[in-house]
Amino acid sequence: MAGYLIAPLVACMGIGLLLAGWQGRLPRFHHSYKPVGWACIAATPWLWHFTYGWRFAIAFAVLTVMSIALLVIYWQREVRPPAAIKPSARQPVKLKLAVPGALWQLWRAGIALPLAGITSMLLTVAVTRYLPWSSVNIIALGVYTMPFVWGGLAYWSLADRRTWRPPVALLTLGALAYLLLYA
Amino acid sequence: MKFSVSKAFSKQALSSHSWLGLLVAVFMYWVCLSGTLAVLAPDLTRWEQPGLAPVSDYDPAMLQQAYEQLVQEQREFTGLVTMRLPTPDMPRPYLSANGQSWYITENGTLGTPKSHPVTDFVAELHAELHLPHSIGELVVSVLGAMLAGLILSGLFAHRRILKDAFRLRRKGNPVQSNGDLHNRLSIWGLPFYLMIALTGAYFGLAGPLNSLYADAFYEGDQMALFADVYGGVPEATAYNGELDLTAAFRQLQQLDPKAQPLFITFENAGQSDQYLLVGARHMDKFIYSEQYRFDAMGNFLDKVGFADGQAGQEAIFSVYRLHFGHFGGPLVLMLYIGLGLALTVITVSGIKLWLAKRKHTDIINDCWVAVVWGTPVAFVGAMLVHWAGLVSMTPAFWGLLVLTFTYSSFVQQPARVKQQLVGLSALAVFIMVTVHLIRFEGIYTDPMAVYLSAGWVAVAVALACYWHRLRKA
Repeated sequence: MAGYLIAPLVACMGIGLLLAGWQGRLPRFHHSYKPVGWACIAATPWLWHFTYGWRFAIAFAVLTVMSIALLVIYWQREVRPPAAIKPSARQPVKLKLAVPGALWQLWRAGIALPLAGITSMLLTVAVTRYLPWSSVNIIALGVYTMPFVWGGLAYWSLADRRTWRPPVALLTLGALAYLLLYA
Repeated sequence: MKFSVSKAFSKQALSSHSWLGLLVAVFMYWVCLSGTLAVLAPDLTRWEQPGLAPVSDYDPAMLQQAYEQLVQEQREFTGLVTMRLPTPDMPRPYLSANGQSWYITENGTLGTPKSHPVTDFVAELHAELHLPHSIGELVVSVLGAMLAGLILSGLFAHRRILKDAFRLRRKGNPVQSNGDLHNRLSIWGLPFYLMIALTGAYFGLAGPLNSLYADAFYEGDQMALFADVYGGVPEATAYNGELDLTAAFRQLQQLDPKAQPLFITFENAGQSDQYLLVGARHMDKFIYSEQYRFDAMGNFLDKVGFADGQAGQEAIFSVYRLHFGHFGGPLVLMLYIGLGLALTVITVSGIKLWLAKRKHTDIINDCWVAVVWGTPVAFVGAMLVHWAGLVSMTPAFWGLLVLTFTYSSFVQQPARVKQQLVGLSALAVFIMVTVHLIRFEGIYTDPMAVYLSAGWVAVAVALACYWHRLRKA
């Protein structure tokens, strides 16, 4: 009962309060509606857990809050009159301009992404192996964190303006991790 | 509360986000779209053979009879012999061996061969992009890692994350409306997409990671790692020729009355060292199953411990159900479909934003329209071509997609081509549902076939409405 009836209602209330706060409504309580909204959202897993246990409670809470928020956003969307947009001019691909730029980015990605992948794998294993846990738990942690580390390193290697820095840093980090593992 | 990053940092993050997005967009679109459909894979298999009645109850003796028939007929096995037991979400027992599967009849005999080319097509596109298995699985897993990178860079690129939390401007300036759609769907769905990214990356990246962990903890012995994580080979009494599934089920019921038997794997089938592995679902956990091992005479040996062993084992064995939303029933499936579509829309709107900011059109616009709207047309077209017995689905799909590419590049009017392809998608889905109905003479013994056909009609209506809107615009 608490799970499947009250939890979605509390999630609705939380999103509603955040929306009201965002829109600047309810001026009398303007200091409290955002914290109360977040508190309601934070309470939904606790409410779900009475019916489904903690594992499912977290999953259901996340799914409910996301769905309600997206429905609310769609419901209060702002429909604007269609803008008179001039159709974009058709241009042939300027190979002389486009190819070098694209090739440069591809080269950067080609260097950075596999390198980031190898480094993240070595780094994850090299760092997590020192945790005071059983090997199975460490492996599970590595399995779930490694893609995130890879994604983060890939993002950084494409964001850094100094193009030499990511490959150098990744190679150094990878070599250090390799040494930690195999030396 | 102020939550913001500096303008320069955000600009760099946006640039990285764009390049990462451009790098993976096409593959990401195919993986997201096929993944949305793959959520319904068990139901799709039922839709592909709608004349088979659902089975809710079973007698272990009948299942054993079917297995014994298989052993008699096949004699030698390459790989495992598995039996899927009927459950509410897949109420059809079947037996798989030597690359084939057969449904088990109520009399305990091998019945209709299991055949679901559409589901296989969708699953292979999602899991390996129709590339050779090991390469494809790795590519798709790398996409999972890149999705994590896109989430991170998108988060840093978005300076007004709280200020714009509920803002959705539709129509008006297309850059603004696309940007709002992209950002709102991304931000509010973030935990789901992150979970999809991390669990999706597991399938292809666990292999290389396991070999490194084997070096770190098991002196390079991967089998020792597998034994620790997935369970080793149990010591079973030699098979005396008296297989007893009923005894195994009875003991399972006593051991764990709430566990729902899901499958049986006959290890070393027909051999003197044959033993049984019964997978049973624990409804209070995300694990795919706990594995109970019995000797072939049905005596309990041990269980692997996914349900009540180490947290790491539970976490690793929860990947599948979390990734595909196979928990919590139809409502969760619907939410997964919705959020899967949202991730697909995010991919499309991201590229649309990049294209719109260029202020001119060229062949990239043509190709992108062909990818986005040619894919559903090619998918349904390939299905129809396959049903007509002309060619199998995979070559038909890629052939049709190349045709849409060629057509779009030739016409050089992306807006017009989009409108045509949307209309064609709607029409193709209507035709597909009609052909399905005619093919099976309207005999839908399995109600799931009716629900899915109704779902397809809803998709066609939605596409037709969108086509109508595009025409008016």
